Amino acid sequence: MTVLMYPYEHPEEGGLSGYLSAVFEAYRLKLRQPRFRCLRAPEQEPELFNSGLTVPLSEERAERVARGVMRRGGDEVWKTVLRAFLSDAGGREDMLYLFIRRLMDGGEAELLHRLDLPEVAAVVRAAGRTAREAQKFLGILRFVKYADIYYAPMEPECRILPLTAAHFRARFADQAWIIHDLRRKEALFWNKRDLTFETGVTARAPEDEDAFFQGLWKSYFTAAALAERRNLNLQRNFVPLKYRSHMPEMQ
Amino acid sequence: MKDIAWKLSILGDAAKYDASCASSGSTGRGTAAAPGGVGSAAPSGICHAWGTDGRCISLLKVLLTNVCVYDCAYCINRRSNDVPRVSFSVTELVDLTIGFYRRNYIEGLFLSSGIAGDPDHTMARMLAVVKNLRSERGFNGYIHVKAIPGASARLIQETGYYADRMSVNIELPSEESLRILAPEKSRSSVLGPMALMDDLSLSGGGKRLPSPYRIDERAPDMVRDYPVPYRPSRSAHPFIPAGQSTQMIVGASPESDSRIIRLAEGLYRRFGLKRVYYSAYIPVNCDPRLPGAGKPPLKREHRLYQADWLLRFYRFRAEELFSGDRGNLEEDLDPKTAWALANYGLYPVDMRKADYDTLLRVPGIGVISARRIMDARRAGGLNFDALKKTGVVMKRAKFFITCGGRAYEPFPDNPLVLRNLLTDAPLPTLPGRSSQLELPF
Ligand code: SF4
Repeated sequence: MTVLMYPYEHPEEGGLSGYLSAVFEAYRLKLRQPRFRCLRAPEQEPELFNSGLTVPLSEERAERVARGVMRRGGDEVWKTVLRAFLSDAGGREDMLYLFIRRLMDGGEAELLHRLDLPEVAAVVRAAGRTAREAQKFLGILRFVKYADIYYAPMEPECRILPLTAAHFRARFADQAWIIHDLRRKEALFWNKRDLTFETGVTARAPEDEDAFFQGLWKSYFTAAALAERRNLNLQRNFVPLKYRSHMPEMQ
Repeated sequence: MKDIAWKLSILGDAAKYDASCASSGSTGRGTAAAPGGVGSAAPSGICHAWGTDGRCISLLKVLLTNVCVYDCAYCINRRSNDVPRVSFSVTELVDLTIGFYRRNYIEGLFLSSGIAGDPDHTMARMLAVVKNLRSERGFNGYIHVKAIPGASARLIQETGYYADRMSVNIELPSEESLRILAPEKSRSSVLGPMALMDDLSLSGGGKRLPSPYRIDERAPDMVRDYPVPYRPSRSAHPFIPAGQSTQMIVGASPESDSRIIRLAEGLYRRFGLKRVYYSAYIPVNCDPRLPGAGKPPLKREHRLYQADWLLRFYRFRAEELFSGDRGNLEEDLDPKTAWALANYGLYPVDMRKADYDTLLRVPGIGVISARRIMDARRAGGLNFDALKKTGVVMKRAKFFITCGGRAYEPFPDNPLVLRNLLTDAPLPTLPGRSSQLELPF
């Protein structure tokens, strides 16, 4: 079995073009069921390094695959592919390859509704996970005001940073902010004019700098709950423990 | 700013009995427009936090003041209660809202108030807050404002041009209860502003999309023949683009579920409301006119939300849910399953053939799965496996469906036996409280 190793480039879109370059290569080599590995992915198994074929980024080839997917599947399918790729589902690149092949082979109208096909069901499920997590973080992300900058740390399971940029840029256009994915050490910087994406960001702002507003928020949060309806299970369904560490009201 | 925390804990606490926290439905303000402005509206609403009661917190929900000249029996702020009274200044509340918003704690402001002085005075102060937020501070976040019963049309109208949504709470489901428990309020002081706001939405630049309730002009109970009092001139601003909502307290007065749901249906029809909220009564005062201490009727509230859901999304009519002389919904059976068992002759329905409306009436099939079934059918691959992946709850649905003439597994097709199998299933998450889902049209 061939393992294709692709570089992590264009982190602002989650490294998709590196992967699509490898998809192109797999097509060119007529590989039936190749494996894909990102050269930067932390979860990769070391032994696979030895047997891999390294595919360099090719903007042009990635573009061709992307255009093909869009032409065949339309916007909805393209969005699904991107989201599934950004998910944390194991083997997502491999199953996306099968999905893309199915799409390109054609013959399946409305592929996204063919949940009886395992690769379609898996891709749709993974894309849904990413979309839901991104949606959740639009709400539960918390900014700490530090000097004149609003800083928001987060630890999502999927790589959702690229999906949140547009929302926060529109919402907080007039304040400088940073959103920091601590797990992946990546951050979005907005300086009221430009949006930049950085990798390898390890420095963190202290999260208890903003005590006055955090205190107000906590006292509001406490006041707003109805003791007679106390339901911690319901609360936990909506805010799983894994998300709580950066939410001041949960401390 | 020093006593802000103290005011916030009192005025946040006093506002917590309002069930609404929706931030959806705004179409008026898009991406941050004005230079120096902050905020954007998310059309489908965003929940930012969930309290220890599991309720979604989307908006900063506070009173401007808890001073009140009225004496509603069920209310913590009533005149005769001995509680500390505080008020926010306009600047305090505006700074607080923007400070919270910029940290992404909230989606916007939900402003309510006790009636300090007279209704117009109170409404004018609320107007000052929203006007300041929008005009001075360039705030584009979500704003929900309570219309104060008895306030003049002009003030309500002006407020509505700054707000995304307004509401006036009907609180009690009959005129009789209103007279006993909220003697200073009346049917007309509550429904008057509702009719006014509906009228302004229709004619004042806002556009209400057709709702199923408009087709049928019959409106029962309190709402019947309610006159439309006021015709404004046309205006370019959208008036409350996210529409209006209301709330009823459940269990403080003797009305049946049937009465409550019929009233809700009437309100949807007559005033084009986006939402009716149901709030299980929580005793805060000792008062001989009210039921004594006890647990809030959460299960009843939940069933009412389910019935309301059936009206808004499943194309049910209120009268269908209360056949015969049934006054209340069943406690251990959701209203859709109850209806299906009462009409068991219509089942099983075949998943490959049934139309959309019929699918919606199958227990275990929701709006989304019904749509997916239609899609999957068109894509040409509907079998039980595919059916499960559409999100259908097979545990319930299997008693009511076939697929290509085949049942999922053999089952007793006797409604009485099925009733036993289907009762006391674990409750699904409460629709009204936990999500931002709203009437999409
Ligand atoms: S008017 Fe409102 S605040 Fe005043 S007592 Fe009645 S319900 Fe409470």
